[in-house]
Amino acid sequence: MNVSSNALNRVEAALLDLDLEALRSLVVETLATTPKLEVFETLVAPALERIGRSWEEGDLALAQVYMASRLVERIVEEHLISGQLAHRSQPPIAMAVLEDHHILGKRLVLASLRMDGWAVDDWGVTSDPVLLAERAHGAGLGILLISTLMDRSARRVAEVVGTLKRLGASTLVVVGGAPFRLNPGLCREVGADATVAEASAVPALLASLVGVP
Amino acid sequence: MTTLLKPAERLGAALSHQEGDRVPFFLAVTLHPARALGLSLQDYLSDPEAVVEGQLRLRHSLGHDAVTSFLHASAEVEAFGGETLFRTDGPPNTGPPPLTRAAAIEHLRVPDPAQVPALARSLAVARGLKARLGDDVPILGGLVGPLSLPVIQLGFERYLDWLMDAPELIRQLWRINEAFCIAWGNAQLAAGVSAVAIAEPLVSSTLLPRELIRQEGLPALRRVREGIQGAVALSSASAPMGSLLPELSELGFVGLAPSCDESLAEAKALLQGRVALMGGLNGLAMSHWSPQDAEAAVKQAIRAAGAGGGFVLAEHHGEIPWCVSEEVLMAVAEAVRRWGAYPLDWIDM
Repeated sequence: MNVSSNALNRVEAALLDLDLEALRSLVVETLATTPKLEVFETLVAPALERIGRSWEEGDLALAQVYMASRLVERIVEEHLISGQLAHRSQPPIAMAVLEDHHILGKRLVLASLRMDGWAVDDWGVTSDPVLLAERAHGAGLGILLISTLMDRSARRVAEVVGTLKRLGASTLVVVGGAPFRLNPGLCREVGADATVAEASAVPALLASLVGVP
Repeated sequence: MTTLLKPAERLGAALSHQEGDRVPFFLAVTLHPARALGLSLQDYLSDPEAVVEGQLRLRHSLGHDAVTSFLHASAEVEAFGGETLFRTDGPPNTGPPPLTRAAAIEHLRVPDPAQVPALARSLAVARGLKARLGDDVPILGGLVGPLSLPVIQLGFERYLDWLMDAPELIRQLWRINEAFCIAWGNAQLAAGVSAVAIAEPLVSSTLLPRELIRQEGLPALRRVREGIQGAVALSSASAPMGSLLPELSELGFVGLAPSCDESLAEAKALLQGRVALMGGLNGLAMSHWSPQDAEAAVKQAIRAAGAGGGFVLAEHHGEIPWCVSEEVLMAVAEAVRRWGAYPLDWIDM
């Protein structure tokens, strides 16, 4: 599908205006000429990515990124059955929040990944890094995504990494959240394999980690 | 030779946009005294007498220009039915959000801070510090701002979900929070604090939409500032104030503490002579600083914002992380004494 910048602009505007009706109309209009998966992967997902980049550049608020993601989730639910977008050849992947009940990162990352065709299990919130690592090992995860808010929680990722090593697991650990964004050296310090500053950049990171286009 | 000022005089000079004997500094060591006293964080933060002793001990060793009666942000969520989860190796965190149903907000009343045990402990700390220090050393109180409290009251997701789906409910919660912040700020002043610092990360347009902050947030902050009967400073708790800084500077705060990722020099120029600038140091970065790094960071901040007064060197988030070593804190203190003495002749060299 050849997505026009005008179409992308209109989807982006609908997302930022929280205009579900406009978004619906744009998607339905495009579906008349384009296969369903392509509409989401080449129109809706890139619009969401643009919004993520605008947040990263300081032009938009995190609340706007979150609210746009929620609109996208709604439209995905309306048009696609669960898991339909997941079509990649990928290792098992899961995401968890370490210790905190007040962050948005997991939902944003999950929305971004699912829109890009990744299948990711949501493991919710956990307070035990050792159990998290054991679960990841037991599930044969290729990648474990961990979101944190507090510096202390971020540092406990080292326990996850240490336990995975002890178990001989080859699971890659990808971390995110404010402590890693504000302290660029922390990812390496805790032994994680990678980090990114924004949710919309996670799909590209995973693609590079697993070696798929 | 410059006369050595008392901390209150030094801070007073800075807030009056004059050069005292040196740049005043304050390190928000809310956790480190526990280590100095050999107590667990939970035991320390649960015992007002220990906190008074700990604040005095760190004030003596660091020589910084204020102490704080602030204990931990999660104390405030206890006023709304939440809980504090203590850790052995880091600051307390809040447990699951207490307000999960719309009806909880509809029936919510403004809590009386004195009736909340965790807040009452903070008031006892303020009274204890005031009894020991009198007026010589300023005591800083603190509270979480009305826009940011919902993050711990509701959880961030529910906060934004309701902002989308039930904005009137959020507005109602903001109004309750405003009244609570005013009551809590005044209770701290009555207990002896010299000034109240509001931690309001959600005043950053990186978190909430700029227009929403303009329309709802700034008026709310002005009302809170006017309702608190004393000096009030505003911190965005390391989130950027960005393009809202000029408007924030018009709200009547005695000081503003933006993120240290923003240009200190530009912020100083904008606030010059009107509002004091606070901050300049990144607590998370401190965790891997050497003493030389600490000195370089202090010099950089003083060079950017120290001249002419109106600047208080501080950590920009509002709490020095537990993992920061005492060696680094001492290096910061030593660097301020070495490079912060007025006049700052060296900055032109």
